[in-house]
Order: sequence, then structure tokens, then C-alpha cells
Amino acid sequence: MNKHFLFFLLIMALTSRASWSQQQYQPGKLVIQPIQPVAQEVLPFTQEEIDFVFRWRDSRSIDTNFDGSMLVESQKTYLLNSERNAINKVVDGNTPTTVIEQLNLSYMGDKLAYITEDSKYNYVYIINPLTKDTIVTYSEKKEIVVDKIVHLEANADLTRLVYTYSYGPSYNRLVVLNNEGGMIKKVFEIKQNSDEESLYESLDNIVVSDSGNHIFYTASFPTTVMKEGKPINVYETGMYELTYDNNTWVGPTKIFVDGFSTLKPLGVAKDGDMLLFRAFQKGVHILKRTSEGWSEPVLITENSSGFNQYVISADGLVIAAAQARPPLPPLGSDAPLYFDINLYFFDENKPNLYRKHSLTNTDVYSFGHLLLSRDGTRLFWKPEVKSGIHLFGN
Amino acid sequence: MNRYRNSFYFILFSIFFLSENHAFSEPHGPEIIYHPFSKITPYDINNKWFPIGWSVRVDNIWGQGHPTNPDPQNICEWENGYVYYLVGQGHSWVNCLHLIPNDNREAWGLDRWRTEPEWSSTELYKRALISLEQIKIDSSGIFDFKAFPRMISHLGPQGSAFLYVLHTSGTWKDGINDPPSYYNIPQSDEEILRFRINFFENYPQLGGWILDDEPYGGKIAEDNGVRDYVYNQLLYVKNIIETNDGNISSHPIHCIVRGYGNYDIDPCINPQYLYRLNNLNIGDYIHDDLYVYDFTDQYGNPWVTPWLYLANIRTRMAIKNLIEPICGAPANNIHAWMLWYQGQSYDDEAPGCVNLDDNNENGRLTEEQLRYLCYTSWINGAQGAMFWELSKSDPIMFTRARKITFEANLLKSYLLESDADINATITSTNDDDSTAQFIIRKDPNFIPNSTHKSKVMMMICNNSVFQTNLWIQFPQNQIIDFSTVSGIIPSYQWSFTPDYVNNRLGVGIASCRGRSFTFKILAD
Repeated sequence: MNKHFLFFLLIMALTSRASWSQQQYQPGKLVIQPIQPVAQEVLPFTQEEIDFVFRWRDSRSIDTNFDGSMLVESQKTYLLNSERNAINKVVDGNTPTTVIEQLNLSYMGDKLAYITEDSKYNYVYIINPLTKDTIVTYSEKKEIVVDKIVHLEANADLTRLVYTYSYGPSYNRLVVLNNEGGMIKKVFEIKQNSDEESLYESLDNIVVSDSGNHIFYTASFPTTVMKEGKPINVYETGMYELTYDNNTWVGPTKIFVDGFSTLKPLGVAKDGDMLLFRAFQKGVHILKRTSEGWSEPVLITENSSGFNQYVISADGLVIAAAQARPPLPPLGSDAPLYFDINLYFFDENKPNLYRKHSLTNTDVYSFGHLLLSRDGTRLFWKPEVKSGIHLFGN
Repeated sequence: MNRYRNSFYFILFSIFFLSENHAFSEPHGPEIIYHPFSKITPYDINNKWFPIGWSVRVDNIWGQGHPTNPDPQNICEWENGYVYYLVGQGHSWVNCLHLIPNDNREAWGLDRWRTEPEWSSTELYKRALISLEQIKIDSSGIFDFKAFPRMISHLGPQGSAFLYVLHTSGTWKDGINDPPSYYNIPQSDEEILRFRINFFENYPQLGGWILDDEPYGGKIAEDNGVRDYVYNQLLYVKNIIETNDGNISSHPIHCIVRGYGNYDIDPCINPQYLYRLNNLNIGDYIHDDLYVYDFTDQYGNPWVTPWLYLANIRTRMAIKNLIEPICGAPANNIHAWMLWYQGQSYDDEAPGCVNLDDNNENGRLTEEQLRYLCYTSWINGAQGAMFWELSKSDPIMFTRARKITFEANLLKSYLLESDADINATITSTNDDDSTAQFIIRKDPNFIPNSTHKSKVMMMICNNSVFQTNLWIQFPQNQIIDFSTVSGIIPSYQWSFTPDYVNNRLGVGIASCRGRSFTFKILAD
């Protein structure tokens, strides 16, 4: 781990404040601002060129760096101008393979991690997003052709990478990689719960802290209980934390919250000391780590539709949300979902309260992809059915 | 190895199991009249075909940024002209695609954004067919890929799914995002359909036609007073296809229905609509699609117990209603039935989308649940494995869907065979005897030798809420070579107990699980 970089991140986290949180919100001031080319005659590109690719609803097919000055998608890197309200330069070029998924851009914007595969191997690539040069690769041979890295997440400087691997029928495992010294090495792997013999049925919702020392995820594994004198399969499910402390991996430790079930981590702040999570039909909450364990949950919003997206800034002061607008259409309906974009700002005077600012605009509808720069100053929204990408902020 | 721990426990349990007395029961295993697809001529059993594939939207075939196709709604099912899922990832077992027009404009043969000459979406269909063949040539050398373009789409303004646009010129203009400048649309529906049919009919890649996706002929249509109207629209389109396709004998007409909800397919419940089955036959081939939320009511209460058993019920109901003549329905042995599984994931907070077994999987099905759905449907006669638009799904569901399609490919040669005519029976269980089903099918490619007279595949589903440990008793003239028992893929999480003395095979299987394995029968 690069200590200087960690120190840099710490300084940034301490000194940065989301600009929105420092001023009273004024209705109408923060509006959706489509990103436009600033110098078409110099760097010609069309609106279509910023029609970012969206392969999946819930994973990273685009990403941004710490201050939102850079955006990446599968084959292009976009640099915003100094005001960061328009694209100044497009870095095109081919990645080693056409189909890449699960993009993770480092805070500095100097490295991009993603996954790809062929019929025999799954790969983790780290490239320079500006030159497309490969920095380092990692591969895992498939037992059968359908074995796949499903999700890849990374810490701030991509020195720690975490992925879920689905192999064979009904097997999942969590793999932790270290990227240091020009090599990627597997350092930890969980195939099963530490207390149980059963294999994971599912692993999902991974979030990784900036240092990479705190990893949160959900898991379920089958176990057997007796019912009416006969064996029956049930699933043990939960939200877990895996911690790297004093050169040792600790956990996974199950996180309980009284009265809540089906906890799902959404994001992490303060290097793992602040956890944004969702609980089944209980809304979205914040947990804060204290000397005595996790705090009582702080409610962010009761709107907890699974279609919603939430992103939290590195300092935990800003939470961006794309929320399905109620009433939701009935199940099975072909009617479209409409989304509202909201910001939740930490209120220093009321530590158990986040102030909500609505950025709803008639152009915000249908599915999309939400990005928040980790410094909390820039929010990007790419609606699925509209061309272009939109920037919130000033 | 961790993955073998369950096998170890099963063996331990089997020791206990062997010492117990269990009641003998009636033979298990359905005798299914099934009607496989044909890739050449409909109903041609000499060219049986097991469709394995996905639905993809066709309107972004040249990928992002193509000047004729700036609409990103299709979210990249195509990559530089190739289906994203098929590029470089070794999906050589996928043998067909259902091509979805983006909306009514596409279905009518019109480009969505009107930046190209008219009929350009038909041109996209053509390019799609060519691209698919090229992918197969490049990746596997197999020139054997079928595409099924959908002919009409009934999505009306603001998602009014029961409102058809044919014969309602103008309504398509009211769609979301419609620029107001769309004019010069041909007014004749028939003209548009004829153009498309004539465009496609000679392409060898054309596998057939998808008449429509979930036409609403059921309660919703009735409540809106359009039941007969919808029926007549479908019949109108079907007749146009039949009269204009010069190769109609090689192009079956398919239709995607929902067994519960969209169409009245139970002639016993709705005998007044028998004429529709007779005249329309809905399609030559039927695809039922099953949603995550079909298994429970709006409050999350299961319709049946165990809740996944609904897939079993629906398949059997469909076979009975559409293939076997009952309640005065027309005797019709030309249909094939296929479940169309939803690869989508849904709102995991919605009560109707609760995964009753695994709350971390609300809004979607686990891999084992998806496997059970397929296996229990195949055991009961379904033919094929299709998944709905995966781009609307997520990486997890895509991973699961492709595992299941991969297994379908490994099993298809067996599933296309008729019953192996081995009178095996389940002789004991620790649960209700009626809850397990199995089929045994011969390997058509196995050549008998002095050691083995046949190789068979056995597929078992436990339809109960309890774990089941059962003995499958084979007749004395069909001696199992236990040394050849093998899971369908090497890492299959499965175990068995051999009983050499009694020629029995012990299988332990959890609730709502499906397993399949092969073994050889010793020569006499």
C-alpha cells in the first residue's frame, strides 16, 4: 500500500467539502446541464459519442474519478474541461478486448480496472485509461466455459481488488486480490462461511473502502433444519464485513441491525467507518462505526425500491440518489418508471439528519446510471432512453 | 475439497438410510407426449431441434454511435454489429435469437428515428441475420443459427399493453420520446407486413416468425373491451404471414404467451373461446414466459406449495390444454411447448417479488431455482430454453441464465429422445411419494458394445418442500453400471448411493432442486 497516497486521500477527504453542502440550496440553481462539446472544431465529436454504453443496470459500465474530472466507459475516456461542465477531450482507443465490464477508475484517474473473459479464462485488467496501455493483468482459468467473474470492485488506488466468482453449478466465492509491485496476487478467498460447511448460494452487493481494508457484502448459503420431523433446506442470509487489520484478515463478521432484515450495502465512506445500506421495506440508512460497534441506524429515506440507486461521497457528507417515483407501476406493467434525482446533505447541526434537495426534472425518467464523484461535487446521470449524459452541479 | 462435503454427508446419511425400512410406492416418471421443434420443417421429427437462446433488441445492431441508430434505449445488446453476449465469450451453444423490434415503428418496418429511408429497420433485421451467421462461423464453424423476428408489437401509448396499433394508425406517434415530425408513414398495415415478409422469406437464417409477445386476450383485454379486437388483430397478422410467405412450410409461427394472465389457454375454463384455439392456434409453437412475481400474489403469498412448483403446474397445464385434446378443444398435436424464462431481475422491495427461500435474492431467482424451473419443465414436456432480454437484467442473472443454457446444450440430445423404455420406479422415499419426478432418455449417439447396451440420461426433480432421499429401482434386465454414473458437468454438486445387490440407485435431493446425470446399462 502506498502510504503517501493514503495520506493524500486522507487530506483530500478532510479538506474537501461538497460545494453543495456549504451553501443554502436555492431552488432552480442546480439544474440538469447536458454536457456539450466545448470546441467542436478542435475536437470534433457528436452527441452520439457521449451515448455511454450501459450493459447492466446495477453495475459499473461507466465510472468517474475522485473529483469528477474524468469519465470512462468501455472504449473511451472523457476529460472534462477546467470548469468540468463540458467534455474537453475524448481519448479513444481499443482496450485489449472489445467486451469489458465492471469498470473501476482510480481516484487519481491514472488506472482503470475491469473484467473480461474468453472461453477459457476470466481476466482482470488494469490499464492506463489515457493511453490504453496495459499495466497489469490477472487471469483465472475456467473449469467450464460458463465460470465467470461476476462483480469486480476496487479501492481508491486499485491496490486491492475484490471479485465474486461464479463457477460450476451453484458455487460462488469471494476473492481478494492485492495489486502491488507490478503483480496481482490472490491474497484471500472465501468459499464458505467460516462457521458453516455450506457453500455460498449467492454473493452480491460488494463495497470496498478507500484503503481496501474493509469489504462489505451480502451472502446466503443453504443449511438444513428439521420441520415436522423431516429435513428442509433454508437459507442463511446476511450482510458481512471482512476486515484487514494488522496483516490479518478478520471475519467475515455478520452485521445485525435490530428490526431489520435483508441488509444490503450500498456504499461506504470514511474508509469503512460509515456504511450506507438498505433494509427490506425499511428504507435506506447510515451506520457509523463507534468504539462499541455500529451505531443505531440513521434514516436517509424510506423510499427503498430496488430500482433506486444510491452513491455516497468519500467523506459521507453527500448522498446522491436516483429514486423511482411513486406510485410505482404495477408488477408486469409495461409502463415506464420515472426517476427523481435527489441529494442528501449531512446536516452538521443535526447529526442524525440528512437534508434532502430535489433535483427533479422532467428529463429525468426511465432507468439510468448514477455517478457521484467521490468528493461529492459532481453528479452524473445517464438516462437509459435519452441521448447524452447529464451533469448536476456548478 | 469443500464442494464434496455435501457428498460426504450424503454418504453418511445414506448409511442411515439403508438401514431404514421404507414403503414401496407407485412408479414415478411422467409419460409425456412431446412435440419437438424442427429447424427445417415444422413438425418434422426427422429434424428435431432444441432451441437455446435469448431475446435481443434488434435496433442497435451497429452499436453505439451509428448514425442510423442514435437511440441508446436498447442498451448495447449489440457490439459493433455482433450480439454482445456472443462476442468472444464462447457461447457456442446458443443456437437462436428472438429479435425484438424496439417498438411499433420497428415492428412495422420503420426506422425508429427516421434518419434512414423507410424500411431501414427491416434492413437491420437482415443485417442481424447475417451477423449472427458470421458469429457462428467465426466462433464454432457451425452454420446453423436461427433467428425469429417479431412481427408486431402491441405496446401502446404509455404502456397500455392491451392496445394494439394495427388498424389504429396514429397511436404509435404518441409513444414516449416521439418527435412530432414523423409523417409519411404508409397507411396500409398489410403493405408493411408484406414488405417485411417478402424481405425475409428466402433467408435460410430465418427460423420462423414471432407473431407477438404476450398478446392480451385475457382478463385485462376483456376489462378494456378489446378481447375480440386483439384476437382479430392476431388472426389478421397470422393470415398475412401465411399468405405472403412463399416458404411458410419452413417457417413456423410462434407466439409468446403467459400461461396465467395474458391469454385464455384453458379450454375447460373458457370454452367459449375454443374457436380461437382452433382458428388461431395462437401460434404454431407456444412460448410461455414465467416471471419472478408469477409465483406469489401481490402480498408475497405463494400460489402453491412449494412455490416454485408453479412452473411444473404451468407446463403440465399448457401441455394438456394445447396439445392434448380436452374439454372439446381441437385435437392438435402440432404444438410444441417451451417455457420462456425471465432473465430479468425485478424490484427486490416489491412484495410480489419476494424470493421465499432466499431473501438476499428477492426480485430474482437463484441459480438452483432457475435450474429447477427448467428441469421440472423439461421433465414435463417443455422443449427448449429461452431467456428474455438479458440487457434488461444484471450480471448475476446473466451468469445464471448462461449456465442453464449451457446445461440445456449438454442435455438436448437426450431431451429430444423419446422415453428410454426402462421401467424404473421410485421405491422408497422419506417423503410424500408423489413429489419426485424423473425421466430417463437414451443417448441417441451411443453405439452398443459387448459391455454396454445403452447409455441413458436421468433427470430428477424433487417437487416437495422437504429434502428427499429416494431409491430408484431398475428392472433386472437393465443392470446399472454404477462405475459410469456421472453428473452432467464435472463439478456438479450431486451424489448418489449405489446398491449393487438390488440394482438400485440412491439419490438425495433437496427441496425444489433438479439434477441430471448419465450412466450406462450393462449388456445382457
